[in-house]
Amino acid sequence: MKKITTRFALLLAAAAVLPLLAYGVVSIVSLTRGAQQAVIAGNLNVASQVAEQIDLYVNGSVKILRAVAADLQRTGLERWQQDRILKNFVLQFREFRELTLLDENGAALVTSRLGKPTAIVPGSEGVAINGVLMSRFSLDDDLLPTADVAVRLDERDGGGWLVGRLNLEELWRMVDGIRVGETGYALVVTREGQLLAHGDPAAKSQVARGDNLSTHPLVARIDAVAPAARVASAEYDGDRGQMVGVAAHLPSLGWTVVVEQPRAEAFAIPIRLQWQLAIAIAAALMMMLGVGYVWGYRFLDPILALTRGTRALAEGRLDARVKVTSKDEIGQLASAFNNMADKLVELQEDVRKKERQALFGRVSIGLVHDLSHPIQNIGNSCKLMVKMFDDPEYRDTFKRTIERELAQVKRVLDDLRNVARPIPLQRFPLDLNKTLAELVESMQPTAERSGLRIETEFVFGPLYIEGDQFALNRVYRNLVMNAMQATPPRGRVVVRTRREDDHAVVEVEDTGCGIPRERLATIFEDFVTTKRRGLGLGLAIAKKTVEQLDGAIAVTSDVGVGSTFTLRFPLTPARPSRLAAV
Amino acid sequence: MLTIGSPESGVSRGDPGIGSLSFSTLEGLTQVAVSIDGRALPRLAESWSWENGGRRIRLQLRAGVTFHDGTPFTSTVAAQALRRRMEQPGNLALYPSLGDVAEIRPEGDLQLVLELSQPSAFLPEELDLPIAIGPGNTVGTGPFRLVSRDSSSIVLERFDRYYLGAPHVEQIVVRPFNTLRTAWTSLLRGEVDMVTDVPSEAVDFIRNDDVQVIPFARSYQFLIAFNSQKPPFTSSAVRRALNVAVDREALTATVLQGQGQTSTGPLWPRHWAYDSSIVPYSYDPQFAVTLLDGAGFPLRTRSRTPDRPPSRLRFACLLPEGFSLLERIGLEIQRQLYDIGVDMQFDVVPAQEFDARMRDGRFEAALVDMISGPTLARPHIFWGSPRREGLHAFGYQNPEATRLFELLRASTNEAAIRSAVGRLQRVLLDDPPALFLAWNQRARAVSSRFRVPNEPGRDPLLTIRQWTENTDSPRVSTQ
Repeated sequence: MKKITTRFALLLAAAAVLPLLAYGVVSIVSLTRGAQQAVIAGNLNVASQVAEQIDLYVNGSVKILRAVAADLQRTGLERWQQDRILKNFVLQFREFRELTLLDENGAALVTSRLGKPTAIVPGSEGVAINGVLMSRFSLDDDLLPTADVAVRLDERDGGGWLVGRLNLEELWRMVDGIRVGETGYALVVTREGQLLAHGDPAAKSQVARGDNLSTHPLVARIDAVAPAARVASAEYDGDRGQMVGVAAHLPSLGWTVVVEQPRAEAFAIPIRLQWQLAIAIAAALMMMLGVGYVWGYRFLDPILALTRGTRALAEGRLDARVKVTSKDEIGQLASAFNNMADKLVELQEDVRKKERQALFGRVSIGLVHDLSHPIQNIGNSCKLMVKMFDDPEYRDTFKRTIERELAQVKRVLDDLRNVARPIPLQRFPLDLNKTLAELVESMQPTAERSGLRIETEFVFGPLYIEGDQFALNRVYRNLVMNAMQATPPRGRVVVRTRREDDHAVVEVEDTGCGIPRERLATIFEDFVTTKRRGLGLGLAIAKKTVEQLDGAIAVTSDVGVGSTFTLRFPLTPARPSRLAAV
Repeated sequence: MLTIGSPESGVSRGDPGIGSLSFSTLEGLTQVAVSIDGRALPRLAESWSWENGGRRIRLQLRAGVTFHDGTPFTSTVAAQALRRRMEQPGNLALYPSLGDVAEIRPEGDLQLVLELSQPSAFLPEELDLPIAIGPGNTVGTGPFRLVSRDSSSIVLERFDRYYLGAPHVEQIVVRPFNTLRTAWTSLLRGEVDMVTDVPSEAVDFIRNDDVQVIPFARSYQFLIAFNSQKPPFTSSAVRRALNVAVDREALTATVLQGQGQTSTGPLWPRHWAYDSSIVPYSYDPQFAVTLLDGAGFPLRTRSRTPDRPPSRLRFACLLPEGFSLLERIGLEIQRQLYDIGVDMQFDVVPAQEFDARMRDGRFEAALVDMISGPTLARPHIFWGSPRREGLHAFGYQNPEATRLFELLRASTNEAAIRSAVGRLQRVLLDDPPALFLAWNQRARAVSSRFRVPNEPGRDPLLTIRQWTENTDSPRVSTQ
């Protein structure tokens, strides 16, 4: 039964559970990867947009500077007009904190400053954007990031430079305004690794300190990739734990825009979806297992019922039937099983009937055998008694004959009664050797009349058992008598005792004709005998008696060699006190 | 320990914050710094009353007060300290009402009587000048006592016997910084717990989980003061024209980035007697042009000098060097005045020269960040006092304004004061002594390690006695 359920479970697992599990794993992995890639792509998009906005902002500022330069050149403006233009531009475009017109020698001609101009032409450390030089950024005293930008003026107008001090406050606002999720932020790093802006409020001190982030994992990575790639992403340990970061390169300035987000937050949706999918798959699995169990139960239950019915039949419970209502093959099988069981009952009734008839016949024959002889003797004796009533000697003979035959009749009837209703045994401690010795002695004359000699081989010492002496004598007498009857003259009957562990063993061995092997199995059954006549109750009664005394009886026999009946009784642990006092 | 970083150059001219800290060491008989509506509040004097038709003031002093050196604060000690203060040069300019004090007389241990030569209503407000004893007048009665002072630091310690209870902060160390940036960097590094000045542009940048930025309104205002003794500012029409030519809302929004309130006169708008129903100037450049035309300043089509634009009016404005916010304000006002044909040029000079020229009257106009409240005594000493010494450097003279200022100086009647203030507002609108621009606002940055009492609009340095260390570091409401 286990096998079929195991197979069925394996079938269910192979057909449904494992594929669903595999599907779930693949789905979760795909979903997680897909969602993570989507998050990274989204963050990359943010970083790229910020980079583009910065690019636009800086390039827009450069365009403004160029526009101012264009306004100042070849227009024949007075100095005061140039002064006004510079001041108006500074007021209009807050990204410029200062605009100053320098001559070829670097001397200030006009400036938007009310005080002394401070902007200077950038040196070689700067970058060139659309013909405009830009210095590195630094923080001014107001903590605002500034850089000097300069555009060369036309030689025909005397040359010189228009220098502006560009204020990237707007860049800060732009970076501050970027929030990816709840706590994700952006930061901007220059080509040299200088941190220009940081969207994390707690990390702004790094900007004020002028921290160098050239060793930042993404900054280092984006420097390593080809310029055309422009973007990079990575996961790394940050101050706030595991971070997911993306970087976009700003080629015109050589800056890098990094967007960082705590990994737990960035992938919160994939993780949540992962959990939801896992739960859905688990629920589907549970449902499938439930359905499988119910369906399997409904499928297997008739088979198990058939199995139970078969087992019940094997155990002799012929009333067992299988309740299967389905119309399928299993239902037909169950119906056939029930029909078979009905047939078995009928057959068993027939067998029993025939057995009863056979038994009745055997009992009848036995009774006829066992009783016909005494009755015939009694009848003959009665007839002779009529003729020889006056003969006192015959009357004595008649009396002995009648008493002997009636005793025979009584024994037969006692045996029958004993089979039907065993006589309760009275247990007393008794010495087997002694009991057997007395019995053998009493039967020795009978044996000698048959040309036999009963030999004894008793173990030394007493063998105490709890037994009914009268019942045991009947058993011994029956066994010895059977042995004598089976043994031809000059044969040998041996009564033997021995001690085996805590048991006393009695053997009655003869050198008689032996019992055929096929009859050994039923020799202790009622009304079974090896003799041609008789009820066959002796060994059955003997077996019942021995078993009532917690003993056992067995027989070994070889046809033509002889038989040995072995009785085994538990020894009493010590000599009974009552006997000890004797 | 509380460490305060004090930048020596700020975004605007004026007290960078340490002056407010002296409030914690030296105390006056009264106090006006914490007053929102300009009324004098009790401090070392619990109460006062006028006698003899306003020619005597009797002050009831607080009991149980001791100086940092253990000297009990009594009326005798207070009288001596007050006399010393009056004798100090310059104090009469800062506290002109002291000039009205004819006699200082202690009565008993806790009563001080000041006999006055004339009624002096501003006196209670000017009695907030610090009462100090000891060498250098550095021993006061405040919650902190001065331990040391040199070029590298000022160290204050908690005064355990302070009569209102000892402060929670044990020690205050003030460290000067060359620039605002270095001060800020130190704050962000956690090396200092406070920086006294936050530029408006940097407020968003500075504020984070570890730093609270606390803005507060100041009774200071940005203004361009005219030298009314010199043309063209002898003309009230010119002064008025310039006032209506300026778009203060734009100035506040763009330059001050919302951290300020437009101003059209010298009186503190939150003063208890201020008449809010009086309509101030509105931005009207066309009316300004009309006024200037009417005053004899037509627009010239050609400039007399090639490097200057043609204008109807040209003047130079003094500007102290190194104050970026003042410079940005100047640029904006210059542009707006240019639009009506007024050429305002700036004369940027070092701070010391600026002060000397102001004192000597060697200027046409000056862009300043100047105290103008919360009491009426402040505008009085700049615009109303007939005395020329001290701070009345602008030469403004309007008989009606002078009369009203004098009335206010002498009157203790609230109804009369309200009436006079309303009339004064109107007079100063008609004949403005300066180009008033905006009341300014400051912000201080404090480490979240300290819990600062949440008093909207009040300078947190004035409440430093109540600061506590923030053991669980929660954020403090910062408006």
